[in-house]
Amino acid sequence: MKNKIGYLCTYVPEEIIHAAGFSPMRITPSITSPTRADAHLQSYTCCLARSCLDQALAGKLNDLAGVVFAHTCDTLQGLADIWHAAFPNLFVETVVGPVALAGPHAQEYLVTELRRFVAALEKRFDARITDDALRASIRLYNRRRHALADFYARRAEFTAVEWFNMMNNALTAPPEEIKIPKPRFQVPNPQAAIRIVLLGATIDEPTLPQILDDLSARIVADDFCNGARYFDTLVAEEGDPVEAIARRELTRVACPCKHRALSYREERLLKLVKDNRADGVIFYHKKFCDPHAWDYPPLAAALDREKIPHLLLEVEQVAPVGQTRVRVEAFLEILSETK
Amino acid sequence: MSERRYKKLKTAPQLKRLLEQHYLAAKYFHPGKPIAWVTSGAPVEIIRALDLFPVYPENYGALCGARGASAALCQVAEARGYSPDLCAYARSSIGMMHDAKHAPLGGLPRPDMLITCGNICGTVLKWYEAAARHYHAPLFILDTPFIHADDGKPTVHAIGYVAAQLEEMIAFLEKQTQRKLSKEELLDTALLSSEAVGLWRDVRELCRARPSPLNAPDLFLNMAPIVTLRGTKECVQFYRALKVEVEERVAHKVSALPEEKYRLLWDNIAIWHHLYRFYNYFVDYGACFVVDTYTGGWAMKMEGGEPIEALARTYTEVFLNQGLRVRARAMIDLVKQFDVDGFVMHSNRSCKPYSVGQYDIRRIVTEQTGRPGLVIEADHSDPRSYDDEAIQARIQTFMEALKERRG
Amino acid sequence: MTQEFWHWKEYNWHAPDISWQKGKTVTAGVDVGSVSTQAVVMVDGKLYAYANRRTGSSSPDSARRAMDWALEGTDLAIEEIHYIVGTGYGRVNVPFAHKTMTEIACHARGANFLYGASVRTVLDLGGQDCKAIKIDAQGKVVSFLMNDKCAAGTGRGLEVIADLLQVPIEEMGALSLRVEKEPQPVSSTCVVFARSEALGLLRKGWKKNDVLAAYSRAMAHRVAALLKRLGVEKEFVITGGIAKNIGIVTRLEKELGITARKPNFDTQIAGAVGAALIAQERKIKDEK
Repeated sequence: MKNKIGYLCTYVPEEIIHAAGFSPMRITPSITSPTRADAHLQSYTCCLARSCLDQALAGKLNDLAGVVFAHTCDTLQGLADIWHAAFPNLFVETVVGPVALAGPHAQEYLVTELRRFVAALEKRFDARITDDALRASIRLYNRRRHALADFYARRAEFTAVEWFNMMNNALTAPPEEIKIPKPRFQVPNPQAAIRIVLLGATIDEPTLPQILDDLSARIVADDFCNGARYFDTLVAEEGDPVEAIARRELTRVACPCKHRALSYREERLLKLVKDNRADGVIFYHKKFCDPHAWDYPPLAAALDREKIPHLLLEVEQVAPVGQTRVRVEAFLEILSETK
Repeated sequence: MSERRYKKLKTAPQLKRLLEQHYLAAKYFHPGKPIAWVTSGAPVEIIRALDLFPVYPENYGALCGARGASAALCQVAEARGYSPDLCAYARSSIGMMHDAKHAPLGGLPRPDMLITCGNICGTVLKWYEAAARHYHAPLFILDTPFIHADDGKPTVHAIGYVAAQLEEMIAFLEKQTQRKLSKEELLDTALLSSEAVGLWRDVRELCRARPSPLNAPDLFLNMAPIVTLRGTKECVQFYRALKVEVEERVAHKVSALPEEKYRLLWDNIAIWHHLYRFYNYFVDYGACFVVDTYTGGWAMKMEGGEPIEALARTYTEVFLNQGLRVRARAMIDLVKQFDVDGFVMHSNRSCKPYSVGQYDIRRIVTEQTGRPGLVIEADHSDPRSYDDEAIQARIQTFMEALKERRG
Repeated sequence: MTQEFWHWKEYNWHAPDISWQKGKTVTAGVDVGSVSTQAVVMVDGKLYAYANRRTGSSSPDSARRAMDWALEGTDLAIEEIHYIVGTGYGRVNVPFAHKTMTEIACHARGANFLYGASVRTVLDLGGQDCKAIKIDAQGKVVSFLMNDKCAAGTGRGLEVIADLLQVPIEEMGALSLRVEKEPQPVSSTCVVFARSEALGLLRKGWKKNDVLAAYSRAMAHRVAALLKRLGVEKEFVITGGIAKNIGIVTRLEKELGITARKPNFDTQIAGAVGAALIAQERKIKDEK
């Protein structure tokens, strides 16, 4: 009996999947170049889409009972249908959440859409998703969020690579198994002077974290889908559970695929930099990731106005070590001068 | 620009005048009408009924592409940090915002408000956010949930959501303009829109004739009033005249091409920057594009009933808001109805919503119809992604294969 | 294989009239590139000795060989150098260096030394990559952009077209300017496609010079796009081997609307010079 359901975006309501009796597991890009995916996806789509599809086509995801998408960007929108066409017997669903998060009708719509998703799961897997089961799953996921928040509060004790591995593990292992490392009460690289805020869509392999560790730079805050955005905001444990899940989706930190307010992400980024006394910002973008590419000019302009140095890295599947290192190193050299 | 080796329409000057007047009026003469920037898939009926002047940056992007102005404008945007992989219409628009002096027509008039509807893509959200920041103009977002269902039916709650947002949009526009929407005005505008859309659909249907009276460039050019003037009397008048002319052509068996040997279907947006040159490569083989999936995007008939709900339905169910299977089925239907010999899919580098899924659609359509499909890589507006040599070679291979099949 | 003209020949030099023993700080910089390595020795911030050699298969060896050659004919031994900074592609493989710095930081300082404190924008057009660097009056990096992902704007890209057109690389620039009318640039931004496009033009009967012009224009354009993103401020200098390609440089200046100071000396040592200066700063700082 397959007990895992895969997802590609954290707007997918994991609690609902879990309450249906499945382990939600994030499907992440691998480091090997896609081959089979080329028959379905053009080269101008991001490596996340191509690699995840490729793994499925190579049979590496055969242990999944289903794959769930959330409405985010145009590429993943198309990928959901491609996946469904390639695996006609697989449970493939998209939770089509609202894009305008602050709209007065968004909550009502999303609640109904989530109930539709519940019904789809129930029908397909002959399951009953009770309110009690949902509440239990919500409590589990809130515990996970607390645990990750605790880890983040102590992130200074861990290297960037350890942070990366922790997040990667938290999203791909069974949700109950979340392991928070014990406190170290010491800070590696006490000489480490350079404080960086890192942001982007996802960070899927440790090349950049390793470079930052090697160069004694510290990630003091991040804004990644598989980083800080993942565990932001709890789901209310009282009241109707589906409404509570919807409420969280609409109020938690938004990614550029969604609209909250025109200056929302600028304000948030500046706050992250100031609250964490960061020296600089590194944008870690995937090539062909449109939503993040769209946000770059206004965010860069906001940083320029505040005289906060920033670097843009645009990577494909695996960040090329030499090229990434020279840019990061040169950037850190600039930051060292101004400290 | 290459010479068009097919017949010029008698209504061509009328079309030209209509669009020129639209752009001139937008810039210089629209008394009492605030300017609204509007996406091509937005419910303009409401906007017109409130006596706003809608302007279409996407159409302007096509114009920039056709006039060879896109590359320069895109570079202005790229110099400001906009990725060259983003939609070329949007980049041209951003470039225009920062360098109107060098943009066609001196650029678009600044918007008093912006209305973006996501039924065509996710880019229009980000593009209009950028425009709203630049012009400090109020932005309204109409969120039309994507339809993944194989049968193409939206969910009840999606329609309810869109209908509720339309009421919100009316309230927003009423506040911005200090006017009240009259239901009669809305119905009148919707009827005019519906009539124009119906006439345009009829024109396209006339291309089922052998030989086809029109070729792809005709379809792309003549679609412009449907996008930019839908809901006006002028729009209806134009399509009436166009329909008459095309009916005449059919009656006299006047062919768009010197000699129609092959009938083809086109998928995706036009290649605006090489509009004639590119299609002439097919004309060389006697191949005519008798139908396409792009210009029919507005061919949805306004359904009866409450106008708000009818609008919600019409604008949620547009072609680009539908999943792969629905699009494949639409193409299969067109292949059969128009009796085409093959189809060409423009894998449009900077239009992901339209291009992602093409490879699968191609396979499905060929499987179901037996007709071969060709994929051409280019871009709707940015000429820098256009490799003429490679494209000519592909066309040659495809057309020769079609010829072989005929025996 | 056409020769790589953008690399100056191997050479070494030392100042005949400087006595290093009388200097307060003796520092050195070693720039290990993928093709060539430079070593520069400075005494109190003045050029004392330098050498430029081919990088062999081993970076540590290349660094040492360049260093040794720079010191040849002097009575200075490497152990007596107070502080050495390694830079360039092979910077982590300079075993005798006290510190490494990126070629961006070193190139910036080197340009400031070689051209003067009025330089604000440095464009380095190298064999493998191109770098645009904004610097302040002290030669410190303010911001930078690099293109090391594709060949357009680099010697590698030129090599492809030179090969195709059977034109000696060092003549490409001048030939590209000998056209009656400036043709449209090749439309492809990628050198791989540009090659097929160039072939197409030749088949259509285009003359070599016109193809060169079209290609040069496209390359200049690509580099200009990088600079526009960064923002060009006067004084603007161009360094690196491609600075010698007058066809690209002229078109670049035209597109940017700004004249560049071109080198009349070997700018290849700029990185190593900057490294040696940074070494000096470090030494002085350490002493405090």
